[in-house]
Amino acid sequence: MSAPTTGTAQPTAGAREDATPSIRAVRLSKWYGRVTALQDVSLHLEPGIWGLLGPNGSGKTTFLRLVAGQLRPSLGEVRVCGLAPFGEVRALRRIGLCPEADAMYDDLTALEFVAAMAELSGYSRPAAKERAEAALDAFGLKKAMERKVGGYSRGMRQRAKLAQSVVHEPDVLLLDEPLTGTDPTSRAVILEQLAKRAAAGAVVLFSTHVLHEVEALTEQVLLIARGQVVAQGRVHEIRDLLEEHPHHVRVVCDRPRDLAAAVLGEPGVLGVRFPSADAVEFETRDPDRTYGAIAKKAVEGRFRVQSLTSPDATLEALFHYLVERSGRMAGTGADAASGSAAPYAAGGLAPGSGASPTPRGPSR
Amino acid sequence: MSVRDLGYRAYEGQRLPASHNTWVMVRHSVRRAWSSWLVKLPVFFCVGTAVVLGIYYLVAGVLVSGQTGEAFDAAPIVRRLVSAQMWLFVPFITLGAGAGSIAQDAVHRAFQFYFAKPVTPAQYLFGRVSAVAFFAGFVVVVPGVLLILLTVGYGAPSPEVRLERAGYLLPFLLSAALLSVVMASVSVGFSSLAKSRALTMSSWILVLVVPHVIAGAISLIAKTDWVFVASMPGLLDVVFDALFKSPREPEAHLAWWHAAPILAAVTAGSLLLAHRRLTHAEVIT
Repeated sequence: MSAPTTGTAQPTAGAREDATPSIRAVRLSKWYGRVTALQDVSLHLEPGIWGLLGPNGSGKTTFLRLVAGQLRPSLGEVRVCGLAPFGEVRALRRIGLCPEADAMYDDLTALEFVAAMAELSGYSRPAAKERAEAALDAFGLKKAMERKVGGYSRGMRQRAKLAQSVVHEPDVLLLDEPLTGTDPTSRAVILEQLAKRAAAGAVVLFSTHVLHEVEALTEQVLLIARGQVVAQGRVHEIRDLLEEHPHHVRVVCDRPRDLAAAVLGEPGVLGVRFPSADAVEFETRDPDRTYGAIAKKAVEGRFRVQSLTSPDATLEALFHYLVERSGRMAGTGADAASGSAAPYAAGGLAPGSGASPTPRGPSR
Repeated sequence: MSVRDLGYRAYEGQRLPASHNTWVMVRHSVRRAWSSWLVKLPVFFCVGTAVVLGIYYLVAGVLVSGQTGEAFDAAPIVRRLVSAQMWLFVPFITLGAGAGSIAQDAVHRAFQFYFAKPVTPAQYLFGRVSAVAFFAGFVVVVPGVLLILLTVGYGAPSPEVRLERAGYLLPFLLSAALLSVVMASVSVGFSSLAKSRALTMSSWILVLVVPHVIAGAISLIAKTDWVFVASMPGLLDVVFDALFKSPREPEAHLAWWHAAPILAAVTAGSLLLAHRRLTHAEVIT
């Protein structure tokens, strides 16, 4: 595990377009009135697939919209292929965005909609239609492309939405929760297409709050919470962090105090508390071992166990832990909340350091 | 596996300039507007007014005038058609394609698709307004031109009268253009006021009808036409009268130079409001 490090990227100079696809943010912040949506984010993403992982309301969508040129930064800057995307035609033509909202028009066919989006990217009508057909075909909608979107299933709508985001072959592909509500077929098609785009040299950044969705696509993740990038690294390191941070196991049984006495001596168990008269909650650094110990003691002591749950076996708990931890590292917890705390860099990948691990899947 | 094996082909053609997106937005908006039955029905039935007024012209203008030998003035019929279309068909077009358009995109958050491309709020707005103006203009111009052709081609007693009737075309087209642009701009401006399509549509129709009805009632009692400054159709009628040089009642005080600046201000205000709402309230901030 790496120690927390401070972002080191410097502001990009001038508005020179880079041939190599990239996303660079330097002390990027965004406020909506008095609400802070994104705070002091610095990072540099190069070609490959990147997962933007965070709980709901953590700032993922705001970050994607800043990169997509739909929002003007309140402070700091964001560059896409060397260009500030807000109102910059050259940058916008190199960006593909698939928003989370299901904003497809029911009364248009998928072909009409995707072709219109291709035209808006600068293609002539015939070229746009050809590209739209190819994009929809790639996402498995060849037979359905002439049907109105209103008759599509949720997975098909999602694929049509993704098709419009790639119809102009963008160098930077931004996807907001692309797998939400998809069936296994749609999911397989989407994953395959995204891997292909990344292999072709694009930066694919997708947001999600589900860890296994990231694992299906990439090893590279950015963890965002409370508007801050709290960690950047590889999925297995996130897994390690999940295991490392204090874990809670709650058992509802007939004799919670007896069970606590029996389990407390087991290795890895850090503490115990009683949230109610019929429940005991263990704090542990080794959840697997503790689960085993509880099961063993429950059988040996003939406890009548009603439920065994983990109230914090979620990413939210991990994010909370990381934010608090980065706050402690920087000085105080208040530092973390205000965004001045340094982000956690797993695997030696500091935000803004320009590091760009090899993407998963086929390489160029 | 190489990129070629994956089916990628580099695009070798030219990318069109971002200004081309204005035209794309217009076509896209027209296509979207056409999907509404509130737009389709007026388009299909708009000629009905021309048929009714044409029959009136044939009876009053050709038969009666032919028997009495009095010269028939066909201008009021064409003028009447403009007002008839303004009340009978244009409101449906503005409801179907205008007054709910931005609200609908706001509800579905469809702006993100457009503004992720090199599309400016002004281009988006121009597309939406143009679509409404196109259909509103269609339901006025097509029956109007047919009616003018009828009065020119049938029942004109002399070449001079025929030429005079052909001259109706200019004030008619100006009236149709004014009606289309004003109604389209204001209705689309209304659609930006809220995220509820039902609310913006009902507000628009209320603003269109209620002040006119109230102004009509007050003008009857108070014997003044100044109250029509609060009615957009009333103001439009004043300008139409001026364009057609229609005779006015002696007690009429509201003149076209009063009405035109108000209409211009309302139209510009609606467009500015919609633009501001698009740039500040939704996506582009």
